[in-house]
Amino acid sequence: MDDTKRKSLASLTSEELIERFRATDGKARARSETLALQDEIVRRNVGLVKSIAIQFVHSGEPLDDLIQAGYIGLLNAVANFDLAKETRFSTYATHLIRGEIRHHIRDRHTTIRIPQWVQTMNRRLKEAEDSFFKVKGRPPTLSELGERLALTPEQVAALLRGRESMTYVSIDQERRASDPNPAPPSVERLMTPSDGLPPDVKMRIVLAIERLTRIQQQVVEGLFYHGKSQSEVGEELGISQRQVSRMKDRILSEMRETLEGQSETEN
Amino acid sequence: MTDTSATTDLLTLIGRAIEQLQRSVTLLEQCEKEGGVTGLADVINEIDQYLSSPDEDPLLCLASLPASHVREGLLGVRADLTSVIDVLRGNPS
Repeated sequence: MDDTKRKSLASLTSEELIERFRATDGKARARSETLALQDEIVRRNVGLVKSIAIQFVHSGEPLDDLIQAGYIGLLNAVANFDLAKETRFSTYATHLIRGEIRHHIRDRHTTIRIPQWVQTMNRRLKEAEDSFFKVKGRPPTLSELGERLALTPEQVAALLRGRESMTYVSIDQERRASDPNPAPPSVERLMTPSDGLPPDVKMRIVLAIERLTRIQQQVVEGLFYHGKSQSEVGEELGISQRQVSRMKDRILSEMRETLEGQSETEN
Repeated sequence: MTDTSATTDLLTLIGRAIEQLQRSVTLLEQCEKEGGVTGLADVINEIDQYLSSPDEDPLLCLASLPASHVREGLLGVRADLTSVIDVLRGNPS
């Protein structure tokens, strides 16, 4: 495609791109234009896919795999977006990208036994989310989900946190090889009913883990996506750029080992 | 918690804390209340230890994270765990 055509595509909104994509899709003569339109839509949403995939990096799945799953969600969004509804494409795409990444993670973690009541809870939540989205063209608020499930917004929030917590992992396990209990039970156990631990106490501990994981995620994102230059950090800390570089390499290496270790365990 | 004196950065603190919380839950589920509560208290102690000198953590600077933001998050965790200990000891707040 020449520069003029590329510039003309760049001036279109995502919704206009999709409209043209659908008009050309399936027509043999317009095949190159169809591909160009699809490329432009994907190119424009690369950042969106990556930003969503990063939110799931603690699932233990390699980031590249999460991004690939996200692209499938993006392409589904292109295929299914309803132009008649007054919804922004990015809103719709975010929902489908997130859903596809969650599906990917769930598929990869089927060896972990999830209690029946948690599965039922998740299914009800997902059905309510999906049916709301079909009607309104946007994700539901906590209140709207609560109305459909006969729960208070606080209860819905707690259920959603529980669902998210099933993917939490520690990226720090490899650092404590000498730990007397190097392979602690997965956090899914937190959601298993037990006589010894009341559900509300369990939920408070889940909240604490959720807070910790959120901070952990911010540190990792800061280190690899929004951080200062190594020289700037070195100046502030009074150490050399090379020392900063080694520190960053060490962290990256530990994270990689942890992810590889988890992958081997799953296989 | 194992080797608390070795905590030097936020990722180490969080990694240890998550695992300790999971171990505590296991103990509590096995009705080993004292061991579970001690584990929760260990996490609180380690958070306190970290918060006493967050400026010494090079990771915060490297990740461009404001210490006040991290402090707020860790204090939230501390509050959650304190309330759990209160409940388990029969002193709900």
